[in-house]
Amino acid sequence: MTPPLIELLVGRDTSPMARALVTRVSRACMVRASDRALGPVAARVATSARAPGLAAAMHDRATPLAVVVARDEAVSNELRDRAELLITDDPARLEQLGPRALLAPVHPVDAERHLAIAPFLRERWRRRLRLPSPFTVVLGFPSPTGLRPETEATALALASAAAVRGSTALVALALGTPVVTDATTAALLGATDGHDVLVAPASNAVEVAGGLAADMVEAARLGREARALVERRHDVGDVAHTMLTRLGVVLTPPAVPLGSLRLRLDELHTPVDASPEQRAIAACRALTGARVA
Amino acid sequence: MDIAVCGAQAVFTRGGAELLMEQLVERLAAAGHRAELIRLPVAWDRKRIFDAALAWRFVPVDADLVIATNFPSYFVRHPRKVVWLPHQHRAAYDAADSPWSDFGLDDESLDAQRLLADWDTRALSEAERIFTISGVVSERLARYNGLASQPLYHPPPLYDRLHPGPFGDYVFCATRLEQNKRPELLVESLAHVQAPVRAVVAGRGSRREHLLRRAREIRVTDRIELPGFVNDDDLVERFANALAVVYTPHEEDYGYVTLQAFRAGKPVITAADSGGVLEWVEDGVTGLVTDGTPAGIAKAIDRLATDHELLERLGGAARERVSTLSWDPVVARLTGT
Repeated sequence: MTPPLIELLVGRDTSPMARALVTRVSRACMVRASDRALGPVAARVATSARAPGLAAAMHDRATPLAVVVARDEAVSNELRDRAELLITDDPARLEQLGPRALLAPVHPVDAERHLAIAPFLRERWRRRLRLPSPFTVVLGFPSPTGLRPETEATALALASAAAVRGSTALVALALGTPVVTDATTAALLGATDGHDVLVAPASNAVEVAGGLAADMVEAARLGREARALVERRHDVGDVAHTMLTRLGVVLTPPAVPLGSLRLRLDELHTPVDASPEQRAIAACRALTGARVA
Repeated sequence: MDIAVCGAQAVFTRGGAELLMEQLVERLAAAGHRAELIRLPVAWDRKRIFDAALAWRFVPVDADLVIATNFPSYFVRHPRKVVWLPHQHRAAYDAADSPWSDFGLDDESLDAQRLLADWDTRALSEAERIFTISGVVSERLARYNGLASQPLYHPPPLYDRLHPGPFGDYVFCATRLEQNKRPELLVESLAHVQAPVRAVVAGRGSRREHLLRRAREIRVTDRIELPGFVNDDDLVERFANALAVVYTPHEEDYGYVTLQAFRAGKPVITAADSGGVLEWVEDGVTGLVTDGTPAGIAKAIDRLATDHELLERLGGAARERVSTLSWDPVVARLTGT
């Protein structure tokens, strides 16, 4: 089945949140820029209220429209009435934007792209790769050993614990890494000391991470809470799903056995095409001849 | 309340988990609830391990309360789900890489382990309360899934019938004859035992022929008895008349054998890596904890066989140790009443 086609109207001031949202949407839909001739499209998404082509798109009332509104952008009454969805990461603007507003995370991450890995499995992967255990990763704090940026996510996925601050902390949390960070990063990400992360000053963050790496029970608890925080507050996947649903692009699977299979798998955050889904499809195909909705 | 007790069914297998579910249903009914046991077959091999878990997501359970027990029954969906966990799929957790696990360090195993751990964490997190059957199971849940839980100890089967008796001339064990229960340790130990003591190992399992062969090889066939399945009456008497009980499983979850031995006033000889058994057997107080080698177990048997005062003291303390076990608090905590 061909994925739905989404026309993208890109503004110069596209925010990181809008970029993350479009990236996430592109995994479920074909997303094409509006600078070339497209046939009929399922919906349009503008990454800014000032995006070129938006005025014309507003006149095509047959095609659903979502607009990502930057924090400093004004929204006309016409746009507020016309767009099916106005997406903002500013909670203070929700009321002003009206009932079609949708709140997106300020610090977005695509949780589905970062699989949570429990500490005991990290230890098993390190054994497989002949890496030392425990294994502490330091990013953003002073450290004698540096990591190349392209290896950071892999290192975080294998770490027993990580001392990390700045935007990379979000990736660490999404991977279920037990994280030690500073108060500023924790506040930015809405993390609570002792609950989702451990907060330590720069002077001993690495030492605290070393202690956490040796405490498998605490590491497992923090890793689980870290992942839960990301899914609760920072996952752009939820926003993408809500947006596509409200634009009529993705419909909730019908409540029939094959349709509800994907719902049940989604409840458990099962990656698409993972082995349980493949086995279920194979088991059902003989009865229905159909694919999962 | 209408209470559905959910559990996995390993077809043609009967062990502690099955007894736990059946006893729970009985006790819930005795407390005035309508209780039924719902079981779905499960396959333990890695390729099919997710099938039953996914199937549980589709099982409609109309009840006021669901009490889910072993993997994968806690995947059942219900707004009032309480978990009382005997064990997860241990082959993917603490028993990975062991001879009885098909989870190794290959890519497929590690991927399946990741998904299973993630599914487990999510399904268990749906529960309004998580209890386990022992501190060992709670510790595993914390270590592998980062989840807090409370151990809820319950009396073993035949608790009301088991009674002390004279200290006989045999050490006893009632267990499934499987690798993880390590019955061969007792058989091997007989080659080292100096005292005139026999061993009786009741129960069925795939290791029976191996045990008999090994007994022949080390020339202890005249000192070992493998009666197979024994009925309840026989079991009670075999406990009552034993010198002591030897139970040395690998990382046991709870171990009814220990509690039944204690109820019968018998000290238990165990191994330092026997898991939940060690929550009950305190070395030199209610039994003897060995290094788990046949020689170490033999030394413990000889010690008890030749020191009647020690036998009496450990046996008395053991019986006292389980004297307060009761189903009433278990039912109250599970039902939140």
